[in-house]
Amino acid sequence: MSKPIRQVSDNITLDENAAISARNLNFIYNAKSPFFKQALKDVTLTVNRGEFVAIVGHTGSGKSTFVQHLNALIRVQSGELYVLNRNLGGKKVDLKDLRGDVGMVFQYPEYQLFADTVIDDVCFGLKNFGVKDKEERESMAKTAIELVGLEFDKVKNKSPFDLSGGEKRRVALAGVLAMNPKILVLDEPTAGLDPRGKKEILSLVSSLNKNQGITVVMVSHDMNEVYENANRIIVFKNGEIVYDKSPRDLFRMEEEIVSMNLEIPHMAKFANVLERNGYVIPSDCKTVEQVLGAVLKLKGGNVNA
Amino acid sequence: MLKDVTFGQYYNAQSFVHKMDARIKLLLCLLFMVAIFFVQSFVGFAFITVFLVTLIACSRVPVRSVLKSVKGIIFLLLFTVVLNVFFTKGDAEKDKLLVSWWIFEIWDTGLYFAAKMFLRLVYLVVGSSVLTLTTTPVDLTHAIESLLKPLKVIKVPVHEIALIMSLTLSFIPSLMEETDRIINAQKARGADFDTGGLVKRAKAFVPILIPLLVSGFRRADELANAMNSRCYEGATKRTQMRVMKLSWRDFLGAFITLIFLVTIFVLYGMRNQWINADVDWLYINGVNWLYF
Repeated sequence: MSKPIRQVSDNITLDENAAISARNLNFIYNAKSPFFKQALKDVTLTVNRGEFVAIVGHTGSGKSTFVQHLNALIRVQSGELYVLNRNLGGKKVDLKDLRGDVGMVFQYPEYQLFADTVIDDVCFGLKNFGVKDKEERESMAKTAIELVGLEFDKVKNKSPFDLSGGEKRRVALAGVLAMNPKILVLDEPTAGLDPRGKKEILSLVSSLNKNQGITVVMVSHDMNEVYENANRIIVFKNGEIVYDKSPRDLFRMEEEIVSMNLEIPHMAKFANVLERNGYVIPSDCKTVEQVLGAVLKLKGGNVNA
Repeated sequence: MLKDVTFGQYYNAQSFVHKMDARIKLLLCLLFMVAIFFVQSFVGFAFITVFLVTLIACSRVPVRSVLKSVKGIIFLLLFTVVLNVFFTKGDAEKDKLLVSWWIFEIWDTGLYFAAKMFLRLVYLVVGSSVLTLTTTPVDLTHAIESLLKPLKVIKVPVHEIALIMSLTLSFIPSLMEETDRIINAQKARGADFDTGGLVKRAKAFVPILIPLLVSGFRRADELANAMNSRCYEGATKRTQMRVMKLSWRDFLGAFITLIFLVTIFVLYGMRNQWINADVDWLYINGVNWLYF
């Protein structure tokens, strides 16, 4: 497959496959004051279209600052950043256009709900991005609400404040998904949810990534969910990228991960123990079922157990 | 975006004025504000200037931060000065008419009056900002609570008022953060706060205000629950964590301030007494300095 390639600057060559390319991105909060803090240090990375990238790191490691760059909530201070072929470091950025293409789901997104009815809230973004026709808006909202697993006719005229916590979050997610973003950025989408709610949100995000080809960038503190869902993990520390690896490769380095006060996912630990004992399981086996299947296969037993 | 806005303007430093008891500072500040209105002559303003310069020097607060507070009333200042300059009618026998054009007349008394009004307003703001620059909001609420204590006799819920004040203060930073987050979230959904007419812009704030109110109520509920579950029962049997004690600094500071303030009142009294008196030493170059 040939991809059109375009040289946009000395440092970056954009190919059509790249969703996000950053080069030497730096960001400083409160420059020239006692509260000076360098939040990003020479961050360079490329995320391709269709990838599911997880960003992990401690509070204050710069991950939130980085993701807020992606739809220009924070403007580039120094370095270069291209998102979907748009130069975000340039003087003129069409913010509306960009923000329609880069859906951003903040932490606790249910706190941003404000409208009288669920459908109004979901339509808010569409209205802002210039979908003029009401019918069209509502049909887009309907698709999004059903996508997040809510019954459209049941919830559309309810007040968003009458819903349960998990439902509220899904409505907020629908509000972002309704705009049909090409990149979905999520900041701890499962924080504060019960295990079932977590699973539902994650499988939704996963299926959006797999079935609709949406590029996903997810910030998370939960290594288990990161391990099972992402196909690439980026570790931030003090504003720098320290690791950028596949989940399996990353968590094979148990000592380094533990020394950064990050947890090793259960299944990664299990797979590591197996590997040390000479049983190699495929690196794409990450969930309990997959690992179990691989183990049984090694034993020559029944794979469907 | 909102992170730059700080509530209160406490300037952290170690100084004589910082270490003074908040109650004394508050009382002296109130007295100072009253005294400002008794200053009638430039001689009086000279005294006040000396006092303020000493005060700021002792407080180790940069002059620039003190003057920042004057910025806030710059329009009020301009307005007052312009009005006083143009619309003060002088006495044709005593005063000099400097400029006369159409309905505007500028008299020398108008100029003096405007200058005094200007100084009065500036000093009022500077004096009170020295208080807020050297006292933390928490100390200030404690001071208010302590000073209002006598009102308990007439069943004023002093402790509760003080509690409300300090809770409000402590919630401001987290509400700011929340506002920031909501603004970003709505911006990410394409909300536009910077373009459009007045009505459109006002409407654009609804998606911020409603979530903010909701979260304010939520926080208040949570806080009430937390206080209830710790058996909070108001002022009864409660002691202060930081007991305020008067020290030599307070007496010295109060003494020096009072000397200046008493001078102001004495000048005011003398002015009323001898405004038309024929006393030689009151006149310099034929001008009564008490009057000037």
